[in-house]
Parts: sequence; structure tokens; C-alpha cells
Amino acid sequence: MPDSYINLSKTDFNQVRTSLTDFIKTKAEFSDYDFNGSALSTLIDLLAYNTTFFSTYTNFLANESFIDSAQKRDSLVSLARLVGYTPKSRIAARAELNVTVSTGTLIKAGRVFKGSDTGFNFIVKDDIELGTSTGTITVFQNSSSLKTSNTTYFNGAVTVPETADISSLKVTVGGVEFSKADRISVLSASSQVYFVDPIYSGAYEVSFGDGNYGVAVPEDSNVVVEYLTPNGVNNANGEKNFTSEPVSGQPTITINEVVTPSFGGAERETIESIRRNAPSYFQAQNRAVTAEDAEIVFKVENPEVFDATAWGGEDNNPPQYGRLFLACVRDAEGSTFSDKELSVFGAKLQEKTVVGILPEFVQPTCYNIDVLSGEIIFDRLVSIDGSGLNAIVSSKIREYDPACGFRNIFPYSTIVSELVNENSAIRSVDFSVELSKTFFGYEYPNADSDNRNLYISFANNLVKNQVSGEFQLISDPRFVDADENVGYIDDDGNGFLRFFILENNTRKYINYRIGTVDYLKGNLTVLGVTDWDSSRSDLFLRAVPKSKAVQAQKQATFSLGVIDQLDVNV
Amino acid sequence: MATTDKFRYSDLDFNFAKSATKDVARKFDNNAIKQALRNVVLTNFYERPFRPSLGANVVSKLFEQPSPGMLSEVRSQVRDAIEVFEPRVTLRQILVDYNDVIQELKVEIEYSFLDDEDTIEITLERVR
Repeated sequence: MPDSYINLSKTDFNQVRTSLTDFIKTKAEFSDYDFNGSALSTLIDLLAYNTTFFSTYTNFLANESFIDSAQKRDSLVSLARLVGYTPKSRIAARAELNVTVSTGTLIKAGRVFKGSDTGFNFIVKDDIELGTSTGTITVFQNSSSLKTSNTTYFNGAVTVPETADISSLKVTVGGVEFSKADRISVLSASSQVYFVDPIYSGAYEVSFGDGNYGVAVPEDSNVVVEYLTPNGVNNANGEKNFTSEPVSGQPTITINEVVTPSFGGAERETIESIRRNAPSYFQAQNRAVTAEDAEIVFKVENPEVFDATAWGGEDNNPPQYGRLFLACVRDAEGSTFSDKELSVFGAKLQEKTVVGILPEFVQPTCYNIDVLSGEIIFDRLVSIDGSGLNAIVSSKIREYDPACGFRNIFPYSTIVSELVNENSAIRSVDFSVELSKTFFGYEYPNADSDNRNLYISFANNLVKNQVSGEFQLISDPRFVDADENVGYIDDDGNGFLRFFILENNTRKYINYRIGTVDYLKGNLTVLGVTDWDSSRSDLFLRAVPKSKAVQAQKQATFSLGVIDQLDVNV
Repeated sequence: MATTDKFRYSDLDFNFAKSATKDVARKFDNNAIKQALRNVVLTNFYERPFRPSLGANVVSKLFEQPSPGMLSEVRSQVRDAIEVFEPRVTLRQILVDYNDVIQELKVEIEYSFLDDEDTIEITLERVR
């Protein structure tokens, strides 16, 4: 006889029904509980359904109450709002154009520049005074020729739709422009500021102060909120060909040069991104104290940045104390920002760093991961000769291309296990992983060979005696007998790089100290490679990482390079 | 509620009528079985939550064109439902009749249980 109590831990319909039936079994009054047509069975079904319904509902409710488990965007946005995080809205792609106006120096808002590659229109969002007839302007992708102007000020707020780019907000009250409030602690009763908060369905709300923190704006005030509503978002990135649309009564605009192709266009922040970023942003408290703080604050402040990473100078080699280093990219292809743009980012970030800590931007470097050898063992019962397996392996490896992403990992063991699990023909697979960098000849002209210093920071542990390099030699009596006129680089296992040539397949070392290698940090330095004829070849340097699960760290990122055919054996 | 050892089967009265003890009335043995048979026959598929196949799905036949095939199908559905969901009874006979003047479907079930035999008549009528 089961115990005379109801098991309350079950939530599934059948389990609840069994619990209730077990309970009734202990009572003598009714014996028809397990006959489906009985009234008691019908009541048990009803109770079990009711219990299941409410347990499911409660489960949803509990899930939606926490940032870790919320599934609905509205719930997540609401929870993020509690920690002061405003999810990123759509971002309009922008481009820099060098233009000349036919008369005067003013370009009025609403001038349209058609992008012929992407098919989207870019506009001048505010009047621009060039000062001279030629100058560089920034144009923004937008669904119409003018920004949207919203004057519906109701219940102390203006609702901005989810299609808006809130980084483009311009708020005026009675003709006076208000600025966006970052933190309430610096506000006074006279601060002319507005607040932006996410609300339901991805929309945002622009509101004002209460008279103590920020000026209170009465209901009948003339409030105008202007913003861009980009329709191209990420599809409008990469536009390189613009044509200026003429407007009657306004000067003709000639495009001299596309200084920066369009970039930064992005869809609104995904719920997974909100889930990840909101707690980090709260932890940072809008101040860049640690490197992790700097990364999240920098990303939130600059929505046009596609991805960024930050680290302390103490982690550099050699250490640079008192510095904060950042690297960022403008798009998924890894395009970098100009030095001018980075200095603007740096100045903005410095307002939030600890006194005395200088943010410094470094350009990210994307190295290659090459797969040059390996072996596939196949099952003859499944595959006759193992043909096609190389293509399967190659395609699986490409699926896990780290694609120059910060902190991305090349998951070697995952690739191998998936290949074996998903393909019955493959019994085992093993392949080499090598890191490489090509120094292009045109970047290191022979005329400047004395200053030809090459630096690599793979930021992964390297295997000793496995560094290799290759380049074409200059014409010099020392190299008359060199095979194929090729120079090579290797390492001695003690931290030095050596330069040698082959004479009848025999190594002849020319320089035992052409550079250094730090196996722990993954740093390679080659100083003064004056014997490289850069007009005839590039210079390759290659190293083998200790762990095949290569991880991008600091500014060093990776993408897949060469994948050679692997040996296929039974 | 008092225990009733003299009855083999006991169930709640679906009408929730008041008993002499002012408690909810109960049904015993043949009455309980009759109520259960009626309940099984009148239950449509997907009517009970999470138990889509419970019932004989007879009510839905009221809206079909009457034909010998339809009557045979109703008979077979009723038989299947009772065999699966009401194992206490042994079926003797199922008679199905359709009166297309008043659009009424009548199902008569003859059954036996323990040492007893009985008949139950279930009438379904289209009201619109």
C-alpha cells in the first residue's frame, strides 16, 4: 500500500496523475480510480491537468523572473533595465565621403547618397558646415531622406519604435537641445537631460527629470525627438560606391573619394547578447576599473564597434604597467578603425578609467591556422576506398573557423569527436595544427631593409624546435651556392631564431641570432632581415602550438588558412 | 465517508447529488459501471487533456450523413472503446440505430459483469 500522502514534486501530467491515483489507492471510499470511464478518473484527469497547467505556468513565471533563464525579450529587457543596462537598438550603417559642393560650404540635412552595391540610401542627418567647398562628411543609412521627427509627448514620455537607432537621438524641448543622462549622481535640478529606457516590444521611451534630478518637462511642452530609422542594418555595410542625388535649389555635390566604406550597421541586440552583457555592465558600474569593465563599457558606449577586447598592460610582454590596452574591429570581416577614430574612442573611454590609467588601442592581428598533415583512418565496411572523406574533414574544420574573432577558440577535440560520431566511415582522425603569418613583400620594401623588424605574438604556447620560415634571398656572393636562392629560418630550442641556407641540401647557418622566440608567450621577433629580397617573395613564419585548441587572446586572433589533403588509411 | 466493503466497485455520482448523509452521493457496482460506460461512449477524442484517444468519438458522427457504413463504424468504435477503457464488463451485443426524422442516434449496449447482466441505452440527439 503506498504512503498516504500526495507526491508534490511532479509536474508532468502523467506523473501528477499517478501521484493522485497512488493517494486515492490508500483511501477505501472509492475503488474506481483506475477505470477510465469512472467519474473519479475524470476528476483525477481534471486535477492533474490543473496541476500541470499551473506548474508549467509557475515554471515560466520563475524562468522569466531571472536574467539567466528568461526567454522572452520583453522579460529580459525589463530585467536588464533594473541593472541600468539599455540594450543596443538597431544601428545605422555609416560611411565617410570626401565631397566638394558646387556653391557655398553648407550641406543641408536630407541630402541623399545612393549606394549602388547594397541598394540602400545614405543621408546627411544634420546640416553640415564644411568651412571650405571640399571636406569629409559622414552619411548614415536611413529609410527616408530625413530623420523621423516624433512630437507625441504623452504621460511624460515619447515612445521611440523598435526600428529606431537610439544612438542617433536628438531631443529638443522648446527648441533647446537636451543631452542624454549617463548617471543620475551628477545631475542637478537644472540639468537639461533626457533618459532613454527600453520598454515593451523592443521600443524605447524618452523621458525627462523630476525637477530634482534633471529639469522636469511639463505635459504641454514642445518636445521633439528625432532619430534615424535604418532599414538596411547589417546588409548596408560595405558600400563603396555612392552617387549623390541632386536636389533642386541646392548645390551639386561631387564625391571625390569614399574615405571609409559603410560600416557599423547592425540589428538590435539579441537576447543572448543582452543576457551576457547586462550583468557585466552592472558589474562595471559604468566605470572602467578592470579590463573586463573597460571592454563592456567601451562596447556599450560605441555601438558601431562590432567586437572588442581589453587587457591590462601587465599582461603584455614586456609588461607595461599603468596602461589599459584595447583592440576592436568594425565588422565581422575584421576591418579595423583608423588611428583618428581610435583616438576618439580612447578619449571617450579615458573619462571612465581610473585616474592615471591610459587606454591605448592596438590594431588586432589575424594569424592563420594551417592544417598541413594528418591521417584519417576509415572503416572499409562502410567506405570502399575512403574517397570523399578529406572533403568531409575539411568542411567540418571550416565549420569551426575562429574567423578572426576575439577570444574565439579553435576546438580541435570537438572537431575530431564530431567527425567520428557523425561519420560511420571515419574510425579516427588526427591532424596537425600550425600557426602562420605572411609578411607581404610590398609592405617591407628592399630600400628600407635596415628597418625590417618583424613581430609576431601568437599568444599561445609554442613547441620548441618547430619554428620555420622561408623567403627569397637577395643577390649576394654569400648566397651563390644556395639551393633555389631560398633563405630559411628555424629556432634552436633555446629561444633564438637562426637564419640558414641550404647548399646541396646541407644546412649552412648564416646568422645564429637573427631573432628571438618566447615559447611561453608565443612571441617571435625577427630583427633586420636585410637578406630578404621582398621584391621577389613574401616572408612566411610558422610555428606549432603546444595545444591544438588554439585560443585567440588579446589582439591576436586566428582564422583558417591552408587545409591540405590528409592521408587516408584503413 | 464510510467505507463500504460489501461493494466491489464504488464511484462518485457524476450529478454530484446529495446523499442521505448530506455528503456527495456515490454509485456502487452496476450503477458505477453504467455511469462509466455512458461516460466512455459520450467522450470524444481529444476531449480529455493529455489523453487524446480516450472515448468512443460517437458524438462527432451525429454530423455525418447516416448510412449503414456509418452505423457499423459507430458500433465498432463503441466496442473498441469499451474493450480498452472499461475492462470490467464483457460485451454481449451493441445495437446502433439512427432516426433521421428527429436526427437521433441510439446506442444500446448489452453487457455482463461479475454474475450480472444488464443493458444500457444511450441516446444522442442533434439539437441544431
